[in-house]
Amino acid sequence: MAESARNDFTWSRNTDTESIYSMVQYTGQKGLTPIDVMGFTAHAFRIIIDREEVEVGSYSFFDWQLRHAEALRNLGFTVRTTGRQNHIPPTPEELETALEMIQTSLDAGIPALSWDLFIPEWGLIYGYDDDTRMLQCRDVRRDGELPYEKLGRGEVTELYLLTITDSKPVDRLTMLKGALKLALEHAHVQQFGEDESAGHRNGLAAYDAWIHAFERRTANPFGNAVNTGKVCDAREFAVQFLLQWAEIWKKSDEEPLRQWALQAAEQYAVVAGNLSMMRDMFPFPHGGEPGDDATAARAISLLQEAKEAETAGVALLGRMLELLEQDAKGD
Amino acid sequence: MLQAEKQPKSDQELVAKAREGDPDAFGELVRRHRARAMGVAQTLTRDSHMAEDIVQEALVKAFLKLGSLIDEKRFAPWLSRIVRNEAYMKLRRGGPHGKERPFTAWAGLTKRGPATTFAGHAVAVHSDHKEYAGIDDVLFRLGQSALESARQASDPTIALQRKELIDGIQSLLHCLTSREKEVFERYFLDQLPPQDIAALLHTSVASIYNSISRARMKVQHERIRVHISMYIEKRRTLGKSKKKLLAPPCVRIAWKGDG
Repeated sequence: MAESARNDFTWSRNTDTESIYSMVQYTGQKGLTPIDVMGFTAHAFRIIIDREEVEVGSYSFFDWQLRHAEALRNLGFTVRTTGRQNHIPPTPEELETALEMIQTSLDAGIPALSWDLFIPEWGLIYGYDDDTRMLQCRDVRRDGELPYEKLGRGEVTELYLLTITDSKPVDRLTMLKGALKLALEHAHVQQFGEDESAGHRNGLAAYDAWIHAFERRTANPFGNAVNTGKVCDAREFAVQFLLQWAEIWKKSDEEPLRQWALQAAEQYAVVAGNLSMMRDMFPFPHGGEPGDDATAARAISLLQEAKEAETAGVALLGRMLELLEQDAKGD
Repeated sequence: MLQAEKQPKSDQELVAKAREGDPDAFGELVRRHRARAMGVAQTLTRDSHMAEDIVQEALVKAFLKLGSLIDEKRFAPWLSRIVRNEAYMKLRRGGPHGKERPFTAWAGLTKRGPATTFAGHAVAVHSDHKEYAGIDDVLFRLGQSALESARQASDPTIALQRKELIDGIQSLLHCLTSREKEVFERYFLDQLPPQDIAALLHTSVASIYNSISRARMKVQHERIRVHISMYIEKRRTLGKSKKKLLAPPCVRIAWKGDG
């Protein structure tokens, strides 16, 4: 086990969360920090891995419309989404719907979340101009203009769009309970049936999937490096999020919550530490040699230890949620 | 819709209606005979993707050639024959794995395994398959609107419909070079196989495939451009704002240095 050395929590490698955090800054919830958004969306506890080769898109193998709406609902937002994750570019009519959504949202002062603007990652659209027919966009690769007609016709040719349409204030404790529920569901319940999952596993089962790929020496160097970076980043945030709550719970009757949050933070620190060692072993972008016997053996042992720690961490999240729900009933 | 209101029509009546300019009639014929056409194509090719391509192409051709169907009662066998011809043409080219790939495969149809369905970066070569359906759709719509306007005109003759249909397609084709346009028209309107077009224009089959693929992409692009123009025009009429720029979001640009 090793400590993850990170101390900059102003940005995330998980570009949907990064974009959601940025969007929220234009709303009444702008007090939320990146750590809050990572925690309250439960993205800090997310892991999805393809068991065949840890394919590069593993992290994005979930139902975006459903899961993003769910995460934003937990922050108090109602959203509208359009598009499909199917590598099919939009028809002119679908493009028009998307443009209408973008313009309505920007007129209301909030950017729109989209995908594959300059790179197949999530990013934001924050300006439009009907005269030049250009959208002003920003993602992890660049800030710049994108012609209207190029929306949904990037590298992967598919359209995805999410806009915030309404919001209601939600208190932090309610958000925490919602996030713990989302995190526990993600840890234990597979989002896709066997026939739809294409070998992807989420939550605790994702570690077994990852180990499986290393055992068979089939982990794709690039995919493995990208996904190691994403999950490691998420767990580094999980540690901060839990420590933050341990700081908040200072009253004597909150002591159990405080202890469990601290213990959970320790477990997630083990996960983050082991994944950060893997990040060094499999540096982005070339990804080292995951097929090498000694390297794979070491990765397997790091992942086994990480899974053990995460299992303990998830159990602690469950106890926290149980107690919080009891308190809510008692009030 | 059509059937809910009225008694089901015979194929003969539908063909006649379609020729006279009823846009729903050809749609109804497609609904009736698509499954059987798929059956024929599947039996011949044993490949569902290929069979779908074949039926798509056969339907476009059937629509464009409706005027040449002599006996209106014989729509179903006539369509089956077009499907069979399409299938033989594709199979002669060697099927999906042959050296000369079927037309739709040429544009970059790759294996679309479930593992890549949701993946972000996983697909290096992108399928143009649905773009193709989009072009068929263009031809279809143009045909329908041509039929529609022919119906409203005082002299709704088949000749006029054909003329308007072709005019409509040609107006969309103005974005093509004269060579691409010639290839595109020979393929879609004259329905010549690429081999024949190549012979006619004294060039290689590969270059014809390239021309068709490029032309198809340009036409698709043109259709989007026209649609966006109409959308912007609509916004202008409604007095909506033309421009908006929010403060830049704090998304970190970190791609290269993402280590």
